[in-house]
Amino acid sequence: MKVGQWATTEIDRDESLWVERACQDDSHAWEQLVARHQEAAFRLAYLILRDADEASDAVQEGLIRAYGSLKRFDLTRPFRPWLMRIVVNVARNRRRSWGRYMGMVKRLFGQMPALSPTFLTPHDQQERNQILWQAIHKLPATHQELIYLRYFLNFSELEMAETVGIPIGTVKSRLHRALDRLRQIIETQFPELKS
Amino acid sequence: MDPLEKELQQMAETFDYPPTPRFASQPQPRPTFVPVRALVWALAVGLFFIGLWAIPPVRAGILQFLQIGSIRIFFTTPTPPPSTLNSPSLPTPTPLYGIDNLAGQTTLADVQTKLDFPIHLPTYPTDLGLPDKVFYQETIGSVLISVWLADDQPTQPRLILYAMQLPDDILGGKFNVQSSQLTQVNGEDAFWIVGKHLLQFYDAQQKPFYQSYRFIAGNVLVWESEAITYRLETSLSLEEAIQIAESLR
Repeated sequence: MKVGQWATTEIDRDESLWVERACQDDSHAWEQLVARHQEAAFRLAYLILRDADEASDAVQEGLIRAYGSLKRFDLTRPFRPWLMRIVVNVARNRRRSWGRYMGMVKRLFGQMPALSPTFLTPHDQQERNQILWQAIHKLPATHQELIYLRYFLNFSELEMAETVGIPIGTVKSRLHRALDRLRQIIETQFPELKS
Repeated sequence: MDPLEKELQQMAETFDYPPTPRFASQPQPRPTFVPVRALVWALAVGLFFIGLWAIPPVRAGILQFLQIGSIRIFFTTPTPPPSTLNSPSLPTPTPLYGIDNLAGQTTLADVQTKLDFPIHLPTYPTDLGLPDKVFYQETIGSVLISVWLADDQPTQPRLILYAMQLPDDILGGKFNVQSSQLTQVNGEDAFWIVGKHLLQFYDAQQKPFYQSYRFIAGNVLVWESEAITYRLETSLSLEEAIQIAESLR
């Protein structure tokens, strides 16, 4: 099931009902919400943290925080960007502090987290994707996140704006700048991608 | 959609994610979140370092550097900072003294359109006002440098504030640091570096960005806030520097 197929700018009425019921401690309603969004949340955390265990912990922590904040959730807003925003913030914090030290520890114990993912493509395309992946990681973290939301998770501009907490106009200009910067990085550091 | 966007989309469609775990459907209420895996690692790390700490050469090695945000402070004896490892023929660059040779002079209005983060400036001291000079540099990431000149010596900086949003693999190295202490800004860890030292930015391959090589004559407070690394260069005391840092709005 493709993650992006849930991308929508409309408020899902069923989902609003689930959120309402979850606020009233309806465990089945909460299960429905988690089941619907866990894949997107995990993939986003994984893209940010690049480690499955860290991503799993980040999502679990994000879900706990979301559950604790449900009663403050505005039912007139879509649920997914709100949840993703919580997961992004948790993942960012883990990447900045704990993630760095744990990376060092894991290297010390010979368990370096995989920094290069694999792609389900033929070998020559795999290599090209690996290089493009490296180029993306030369970008500032905020630019990387926009690229993940837009191209990896197929979020709409409205959902991206709500997830990262900026106006929709700023999403457009910031994504444009991210792509410009990525082109510069490719031009100067990965010229083999220009072919 | 242009070719780069198409390539990103194609790459994303073939990205091999690990399987999504089944997350607890009913999160158990707990006062704080403590990842078990991390606790096991933390215990292992603690025991590991307690063992290492007993060995003097290792103790010296562990304290070889400390890091806040994108700034790493090296406690080395006075030697020139390392040049690029793979190009020994490149000369050691002449460090920039002061701000005269800083690149990228611009205005606050112009730089706001380029930055991805909000500009926060100090509101203390009350007579500080807006910066006299503003520089924006993109060589290593997004770097905003705000300079306030001294009233009695208009060519000399009174304060210099760096606000930096850098990729994870870019580091600012502070070399020949003679004295530093851990402190706090807004309750978060910060470093206070006293006395002359060298500042140089490096990429992931430890290659220096030569344009960034600067000789720092004053004291520096380094802290991180909302994923932005700040450096405040000043001749004021630590207490004053913290007050300035905490007045950023």
